[in-house]
Formats: sequence, structure tokens, C-alpha cells
Amino acid sequence: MKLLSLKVENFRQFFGEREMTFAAGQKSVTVVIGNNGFGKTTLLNAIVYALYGSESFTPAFEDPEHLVNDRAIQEAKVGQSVQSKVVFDFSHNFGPQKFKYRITRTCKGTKKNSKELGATTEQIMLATTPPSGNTEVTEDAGEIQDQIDRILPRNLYPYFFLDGERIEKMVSPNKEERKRLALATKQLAGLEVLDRGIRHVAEARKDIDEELGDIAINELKEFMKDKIEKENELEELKKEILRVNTEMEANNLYIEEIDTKLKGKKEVGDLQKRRERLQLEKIDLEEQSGRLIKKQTEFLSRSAYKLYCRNVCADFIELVDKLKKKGELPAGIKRKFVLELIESKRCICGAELGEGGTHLGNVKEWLNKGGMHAAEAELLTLSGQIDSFSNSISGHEAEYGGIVQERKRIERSKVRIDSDLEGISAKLGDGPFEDIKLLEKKRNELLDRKSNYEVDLSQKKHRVKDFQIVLEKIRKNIAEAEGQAGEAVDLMHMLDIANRTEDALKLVRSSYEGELKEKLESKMGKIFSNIFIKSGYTPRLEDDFTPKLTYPVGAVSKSGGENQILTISFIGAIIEVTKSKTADLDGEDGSTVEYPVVVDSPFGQLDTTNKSGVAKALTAICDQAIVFVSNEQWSGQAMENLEPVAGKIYLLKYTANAEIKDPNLLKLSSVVVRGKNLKLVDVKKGAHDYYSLEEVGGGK
Amino acid sequence: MTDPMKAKSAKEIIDELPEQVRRVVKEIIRLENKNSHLAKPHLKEEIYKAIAEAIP
Repeated sequence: MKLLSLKVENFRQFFGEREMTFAAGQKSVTVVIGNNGFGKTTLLNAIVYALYGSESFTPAFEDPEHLVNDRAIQEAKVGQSVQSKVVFDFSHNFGPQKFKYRITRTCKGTKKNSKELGATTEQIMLATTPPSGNTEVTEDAGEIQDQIDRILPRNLYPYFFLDGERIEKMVSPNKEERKRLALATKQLAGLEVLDRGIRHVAEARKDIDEELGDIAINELKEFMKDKIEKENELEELKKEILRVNTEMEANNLYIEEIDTKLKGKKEVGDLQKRRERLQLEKIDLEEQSGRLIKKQTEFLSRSAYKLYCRNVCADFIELVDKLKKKGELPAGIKRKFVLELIESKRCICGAELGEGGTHLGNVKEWLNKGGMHAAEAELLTLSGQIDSFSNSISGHEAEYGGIVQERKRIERSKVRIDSDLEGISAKLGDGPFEDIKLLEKKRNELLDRKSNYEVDLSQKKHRVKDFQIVLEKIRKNIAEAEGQAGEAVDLMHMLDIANRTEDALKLVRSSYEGELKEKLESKMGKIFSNIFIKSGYTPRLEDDFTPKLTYPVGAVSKSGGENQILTISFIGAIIEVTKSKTADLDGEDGSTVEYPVVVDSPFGQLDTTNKSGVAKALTAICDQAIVFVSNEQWSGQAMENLEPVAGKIYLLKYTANAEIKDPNLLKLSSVVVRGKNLKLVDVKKGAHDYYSLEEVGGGK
Repeated sequence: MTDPMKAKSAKEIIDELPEQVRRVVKEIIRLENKNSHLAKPHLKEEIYKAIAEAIP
């Protein structure tokens, strides 16, 4: 927010129109000098009134119902409408876009008797001019307040429009004020952008969900849901594996450290070396065992059936032998020989084989037997093959037996090594040396832990495999269903992304809030220490974002001056943080935003050193400062520090219609500005008393 | 060396998000920042569009 100009009309002590423009650019300080009662607080409150209405006046603004100038009321006729008006121009940058605003607030009433107005009404109007130049005007009070709150939230304005006399009260707000302050600080510093993002993504998600609800493909929905759940679980599991691996590596390193220490002990160094040798041997055996298991597995998958065929083969061979013994194998009578006998009509026994005779019938029976010849031949071939197969089984049995024996041997060796290792551990753990006992005890604990890690890891890896199998199956199901419902699939992807985006934004918001507090506290501390020279005073930001000062031990007084500096430091920190707000999350430049500080009587309670510090800080912490000072406050440090940076200096003058006799007023009737002695009080006989605003010094 | 106990910053959280989600989160922050001069911006449609563009 950059303040451009202020015009008041019949507002409080100002009769008619009074106007001022605010300094900007390199010399961005505007100083308004005036004695008490001349209108300093009125001008500050005119800005506050324009922005936030009559409920937001600073505490120093007395009689807040009385806004319309007395003389304006006096000069109106009874029944005539009288009004006071404030017109306030300012601009504000949202990123690279500069918007101009004119806010006009009017308080209007009808004169009901010679002195008073009847009930007054308030009107507000906001004209917004975007970079495109098309000014839009609204009179909707709610909308206007929302717009203003986007620029400088109402709850935060007391930190930017300061009543110097009461500034110290601002660092000890009550519970309700604390809540409002925290809310406004977060809003100004960019958290609201994330809040709005969360709200808007939730709205978009709702739309997607409704669209999806219209498509009846529950099965696919379930698959997708299942897939997302399983993928998330798998992701978590992988993270867990990574964590366990890291912890296990650290654990192993610790074991190695202990081993090195033990090796270095002369009493047990040899024992430890032996243990290391045994461990190496064990590793070697485990590798051998691993290779054998692999070999055994390969053997079983390739030739296991042969081992189970031995009995079947034996039964077959026995059966064939029996058939042979019975003379049923081989058939012995070949078909061709029988046919020759029938053709010669004589059997080998000499009997005639006549047609219809018994002998011929018997010989033809032989012919049937001859039909079995092919099968018999096959059986004989098979018998030969089975015989040879049966012989090869013995070779396989021998090979398998060898593997089993070798494994047993390795297992026995491992048992022996384990026993030796246990023996070594017992010697080290029960020996006479306390330090060694302790090391061994610790080592055993770590070994137990290592073993737990290994079991844990193995289970988790097994679960990963299970997940992958399940996921593959789900993906297959989805692929099938996807063909039927492409649109729904897209919506489901969108729903998933919307859900994850909402979760991510919430996480980002939570983290950003923490960062914001840290940044504010750090910047507040830097500004404070630049102004306040005493050591041991540390500014802190409470959990609810309220600034607080911690005092050094033994500090007896807690002066208003410290709190004033704390408040200024807090404002400076808010401005700095606001400039960098959420723009740093999306890589855009957020530094174009500007903030002013308008302060009434800032030097009241400060000693000379702090006065100088505050004057310098005021110009350093903000982009634009408007400082209202009395004649007395202007002199000395304030003048020295502010005059060089002031782009505009105004005098609030009082013109009386009669000779002034009040000695106090006479004493304060002039002020030195840029080396010139200027009148603050004047006399013009015959005229009304009035207050005016006069520009007396631009930047040099 | 990074302190593993230190909470991740908002930027780190965003950087570590899966590509699709990160793109949408960044677009939302950009849209909200761009429209922060509006008292009540209606960005539902634009955010819907950003999500739709992010799907594989």
C-alpha cells in the first residue's frame, strides 16, 4: 500500500476542504508538525476512518461520534443536510500489477436544531483502477472491506497506523486481540494464499467427485481406490525399508567400532582377532551354503522326478520279468509262420488243417496271438529304455546325496564356529576386565539388534514382493476395465491428484506457518538490536504471533520506550516478510509490495538515544512513513534525523480571530523547518477560528 | 550435512512432491497469488483445469 493523498472536508476541526499529498520515492517521509489539538490525530484517523470506518479509530481519537465540523453545522439551516467527507487515494501492487484506489467515506446528517445534527448515516464508495485503466466503482460495504483486508487487514492496521502515546500497550494485547493479530499477520504474510488454495482445490475435487458419481463403474472405482491405497502402502513400506537399512548400517558401524577397540586391547586382542577369523570363515561357509542351496534347488527342479521314479521302474521291470517267465513274452509265434501253416493245410504236429476242422480253429487262435506282436515289441523296447533310465537314477541319487552331505558338513562347521564364537563372547563377557565386559555386553546388544533388523528387513522385503504381485493383478484388472470407461479413468486420476494436492497444500501451509514465525522473529530481532543499544533484551514471537520482549536478569523497569521499539521492529519484520511471502514458493517476485507506517507522536516516551534510533528505524523499516509530531517533539533528534529524508513537510496551523493571550499557545507558536522559523499560530481579526494544513518544505 | 530431525521447509516439501502433484500445487499458488487482489476469487474452474492437465 502506497499512500497518495488525503482530502478531508468538514471533518472534525477542519472546516471546508483540506488536502495533502504524501511523499514517495527516495525521500518517502512526510512530516506533519502541529501542536496538540491542531489536528494530527484527526488526520491519522481520517485515513483509518476511510479504510475501516468509524469503529476503528485509534484510542487517542476522542469523541468519535462527533465527525462533522461544528462550524459546518452552525452555518447550515435547520433541516438542511450537512456532511463530512474523507477522500483517500492509495495504490497497491499485487505482484507486477499496480492497482489504484480511491476510497470516499461520508458521514451525513440533518441539522435538527441550532447546534446539533440528528442521527447520521455513513456512506462508502471504492473506485478501483487496475493496470488496464478501466475503473470500477462499488458501494457495497462488505465487498469494499474484503478488498481492503486483502491489502492491509483490519486486525493489523493498529501496527501500521500508530498512536505513539499508546504504542507500548500494543505488545500486550488481550486474548481476543491476540487471536485477531495472529490471523491478520498470517493473512498479510501470505498464508491466506495457501488457505484459499486449499479451499479452491477442495471445491474442484467436489466437482470431480460428482462427475464421477454420475458414471456407474463401481468396480473400476474400487480397483483404482485399491491401487492408490496399495501404492501408498508400498511407498510407505519402501521408506520403512530405507529407514531400517540406514539404522542397520549405523548399528553395524557401531559393532565395527567395538571390534576395533577390542582388537586394540592387549589382554583380549588375540581373542578378538580369532573371532574375526571365525566370522570370516562363517561368512565363507554361508556363501558356500548359499551356492549349494542354489545347486540343490536347480537339481530338484531339473531331476527330482527321477528320484521318485525308482519304485515305478522296479515294478515295471518285475512285471515284464513275470510275463517272460510265463512264456507270454515274447509271443514267439510270428504271424507270417502261422499264415504259412494255414496255407500248407498242415500243422507242425502233422495234423491236417482242413476247413471247418478243430485243428484249423486252434491254429487260427495262434494267429490272434500273433496280432499282439506290435504291442509286445513296444513293451520290449520300453522295457529296455526303463532299464537304462533306472540305471541312470543311481547316478542322480549319488549327485543329490553329495549335495545333501556337503550341506550337512557345512552346517556342522557353522555349528562348530558358532560354538567357538559363543565361547569367545563368554570369555570376553565374563572376564576380569570391566571395560572389556562392558564393550562385549554392548556388542551383544548390538548383535541382537542387528538380528532384529535383519528379520524386520526380510519380512518387509517379502511384503514388498507381495505388494508388487497384488499391484500387478490390480493393474491388469484396471487395464481391462479401462477399455470400457476411459472418461471415468481420467476423472479418477484427477480425483487422486486433487486429493493429493489438497493434502500437500495442507502440509505446505503447516510448514510455511512455522517458517513464517521463525522469519518474523529473526527479522524483528535484527531490527530491534539495530535500534536498542542495551544488551540482554531479546524480542520473541509467541506461539500466537504476538511480539514479546524478554528482559535481562535484574532489569527492574520495563519502560514504554522498549515496547515502542519492539512494536516498530515487529512492523518492520512484517513488512519484510510480506515482501517475500508465498511468492518464494512459486518463484515469482513478491518484492513489489509496499507498506507505509503512519505514526502519531512517536517520540513521546523515548530518551535521546532511542529517539534517534526510532527516527532512523521508521524510515528504514517501511517504504513510506508519515510522521505526526508536535512542535516540541520535532526539535532535536527527530528533526535531525527526519528532515534529510522528508519529501514533504506540512504544518498544521491555527488561525485565531482574536488576539491570543494563552501563554502556552504563544510559547509554541512557531517552529524551525529547514532552518526557517515558521508560524504555527496566526491571528486574523474578523475571521472565524480555523485550522489549516500548509506544505512548507519539500525534499532538498 | 542436513539435520534429519529438522522439519522440511515448505519449498522442500513442494520439491519432493511427485511431479504431477507438484505441478498442480505450484499452479495453484501462482493462480492464488495472481488473483490475490480479488476479495473472493473464483478459481475452482482454473484449478480443475490444472488438475485435468496434470493427469498422465
